[in-house]
Parts: sequence; C-alpha cells; structure tokens
Amino acid sequence: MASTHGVNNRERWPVEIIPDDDRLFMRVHCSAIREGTLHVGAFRNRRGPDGEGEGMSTDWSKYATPEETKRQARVPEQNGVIEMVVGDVREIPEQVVQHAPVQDMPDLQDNRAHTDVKGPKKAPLADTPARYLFMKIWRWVIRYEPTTESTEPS
Amino acid sequence: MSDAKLDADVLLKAETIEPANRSEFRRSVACGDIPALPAALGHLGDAIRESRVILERQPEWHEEDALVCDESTWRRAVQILVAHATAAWETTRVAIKPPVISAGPEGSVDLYWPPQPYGLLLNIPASPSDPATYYGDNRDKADTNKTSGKLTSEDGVDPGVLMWLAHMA
Repeated sequence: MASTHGVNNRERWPVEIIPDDDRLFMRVHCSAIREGTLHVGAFRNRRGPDGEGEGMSTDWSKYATPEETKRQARVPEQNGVIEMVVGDVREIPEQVVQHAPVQDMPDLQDNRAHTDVKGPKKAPLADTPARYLFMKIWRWVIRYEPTTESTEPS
Repeated sequence: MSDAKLDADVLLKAETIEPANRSEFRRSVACGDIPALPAALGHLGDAIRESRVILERQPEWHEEDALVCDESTWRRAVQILVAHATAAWETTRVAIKPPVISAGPEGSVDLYWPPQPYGLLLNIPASPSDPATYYGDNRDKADTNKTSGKLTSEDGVDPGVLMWLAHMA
C-alpha cells in the first residue's frame, strides 16, 4: 500500500536500497501535458515532504501502484502517472534514487513508497541535460484524461 | 535581415492566409505578438501562437502543481527561437521543425525538439540575468555526438545551437 492511516505504535519504516530493475511511478500535473504529450517541464525538483531539501517526488513500485500514486495528488483528476525504470534513472549523470518513506509527518499521508530522485537542478547548466535525458526513459501508466472539472490546456 | 526583405516576407506570409484573416495577421505582427518570420518558416509562427496557452493558469490549479510562466519569459523564448530559425534559414536554407514550447521549472520556458535522431532542449530561465542553457544529442550516437552550453547573448545567435538546429529540418 502506498499509504496507511491511523496506525500508531508501529516500527519506523526503514530506508531501503532500491534495485535497478524496479520502477518508479510519478504523477504529472495536466499543466505539463498538452494534447496527450508530456512536456519536459514535468521533470523538476520540488521541496521535500519534510520541507527541507529538494528532489523529484516518486513512488517505488514495491510499495505502490500507479493508481495509489495518482490518488495521493491534491486533485487526482488533474494528473496522469508515468513510470521509469530505476536503473535508467541512475544512468542519468548525477541523479540519485533515494528511498524516503513518509511516516507520521504533520499534514501528510504516510507513504512507504515515497522516493526522491535527487540531482542538481539549480545551477544554470545543471538541470537541462538531466531533463532532456529524462524525456527518453518514461512511459505512461495512467494517461491524463481531461474532464470538465479539470480542463487541459489546448 | 533588411527591412525591405522582412516586409516582403511578412507580406508573402499574409498572402498565404485567408483574406478574412489578413488584417488580423498584419495587426499581430505590428503589435509585436510574434516577431516577423520568413515565409518558409510560417509553421513556426503557428507553433508560437499555439504556445500562448502556457501563460494561462487555470483557476482550479493549485499553485504548487501548475507549470506556468510569465509573458516576458515567453517573449524572450520566442525571440531566441525566431532569431535562430531565421539565421538557419538565411545561412543554410534549412527550415527547422517547430519545437515543443512549454513551461519549465521555476517559471522558465522550454524549447524542446525530440530526438529524430537529433534532439535539443533549450531552457530560457525566468530571470533575464540568467543565461539560457541547452543540451542535445544524436539519439543513435548519444555517447559521442552531443552538445551543451549556455547562450551568452539573447540578441545574438549562438553558433553551436545554430549548427545543431541545422540538423532539424
């Protein structure tokens, strides 16, 4: 399960080593999709769940399904889900796949699958090669379907 | 490009559109919405016009989710695109393919040509004081045939980017 609620007095989830053959699921907001095409802007670092550090937030396939990853969005119907093979991500220079389970954090759903893809994104030249290379390794697992409540830009 | 040549190209482009739309086309050029393009690059004008959607934040989007950019950044991106496309046309008669023009991280704009087999990502940051950066490769020889760098001047044409774009007819 990607998330577990209301469970107290349990052991802390360990940080695990993620095998190269496993997959990462990532939500993609509809603002990064036009006419079914994923934009390179989908690959970006964001502040971590703990409010510190930055990374690209994903879910490890060992503990999550694509549907669970989608459901964790603020507005699930505004998102699609893509997947990447962990070994492919690690082949992109300076990108690090780091299991980072979310547990008992204020205002956040627990998520044992949560995994950060960390890598330089701030320096002027650092993120452009990485984002170009990410565009070669993803594939849809849940396509974004526009609805009347969530209008895809067209 | 001389003004006379520019005017001729604009008029030539105008002749290819429906009479009912000609006045609108001339007005948009005159207002500077889209810099004038040689007639052979009309397809770029279409892509640029369509890309204006990245300026529109939908009211139901959460601020932290949405990828949008300011019009000033979009205009700088368009300027860079048109300058390089025009130079490629004038120097080599190569009409480059239109890129995917989209909002990037932190208010930047991405110009992306998917590898076919040559590809390129050119990112224009939100801050005008930061340089645009690029990276591209040849999908079939990605380890040995690649390019990267930053644009030193937004007004000029970067020779490295220009040479790479010439592969993207």
